[in-house]
Amino acid sequence: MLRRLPLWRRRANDGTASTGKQSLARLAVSEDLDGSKAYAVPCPIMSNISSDDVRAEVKKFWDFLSRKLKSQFAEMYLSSASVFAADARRMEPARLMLVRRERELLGPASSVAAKLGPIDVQPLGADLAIASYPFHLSITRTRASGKRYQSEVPSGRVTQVFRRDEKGVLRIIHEHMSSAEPVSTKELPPTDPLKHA
Amino acid sequence: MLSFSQNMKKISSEDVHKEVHRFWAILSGNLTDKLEEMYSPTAIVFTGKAKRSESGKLMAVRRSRQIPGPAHSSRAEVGSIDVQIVGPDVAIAAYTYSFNTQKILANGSKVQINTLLGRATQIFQRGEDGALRIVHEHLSAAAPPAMEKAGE
Repeated sequence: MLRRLPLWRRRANDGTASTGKQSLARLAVSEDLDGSKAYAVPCPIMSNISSDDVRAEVKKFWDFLSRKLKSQFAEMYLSSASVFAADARRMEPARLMLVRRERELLGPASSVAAKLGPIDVQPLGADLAIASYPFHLSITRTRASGKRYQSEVPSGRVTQVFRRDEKGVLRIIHEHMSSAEPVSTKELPPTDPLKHA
Repeated sequence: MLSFSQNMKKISSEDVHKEVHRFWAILSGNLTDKLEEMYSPTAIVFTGKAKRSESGKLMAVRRSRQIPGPAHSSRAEVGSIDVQIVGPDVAIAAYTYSFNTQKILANGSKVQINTLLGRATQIFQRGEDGALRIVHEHLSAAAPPAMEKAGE
């Protein structure tokens, strides 16, 4: 049995009545109390993504990366996300990039420090927004060989497309990082492995 | 911000492929359509070497002046275009490209610029008039473009 639910029922079913944050567009199908399927339709109370929400996610992204919070950092990306890494010739699935970043940037002997420029936000509807901004990045990465490198990205630029997932969380669906100037990299002397154990 | 009307045609991968090829045909001087009309009035772009983003319309006007005439047409090769449809009216095109063009320097000399490892992200949105326009663009290169003196 299919029928439209009254607005208050739809919100209650979604558990968003208290926050009012999530989009009703995600309520395409929900189970009614009697087990029958109820179809909801988008309505005017759908909340658009705000620029502040997006800026907060961008700051979280860099915070997770610099604090090496692996799982939180990985959760910033949707499973279908695609990425142009700053030094890559081709686009790759985010899950591959995450494996590499985890190995090179999130290990005990690696570090990431970023300074962000002004963040432009372009909302593209209720569930989508683009963030773009310049950044300065200092990273120490450990390659698979064990060698460590210090890189400076003085004029980094990034585009991150955020999309709300089914739980209403903003996550990255596409990312493009690049540098307007050549990245300077130097090899660092080996460190005592016990020091970082 | 534009909203999607039920009467609008949903964006398709073919639509996006067509627009990407139109973009490069204009830049190469093979199509006389106006480049600035490909951009939304609110578009933001990162061009190849710019440290900051800028207005897409302004950049397009500047880039249009550099589009070569028929005698010096540029050459673009676009790799496989990955299209993600992320809404009824929004799609992300991401691809690699190479671009070979001629530029006249301030001293009047001509140089050939070869971008071999170009990477592009272009986000298209269907406008209220039904046309797809770029709302965001990020062009970069995995290696600096090669420059050489061009012959007459």
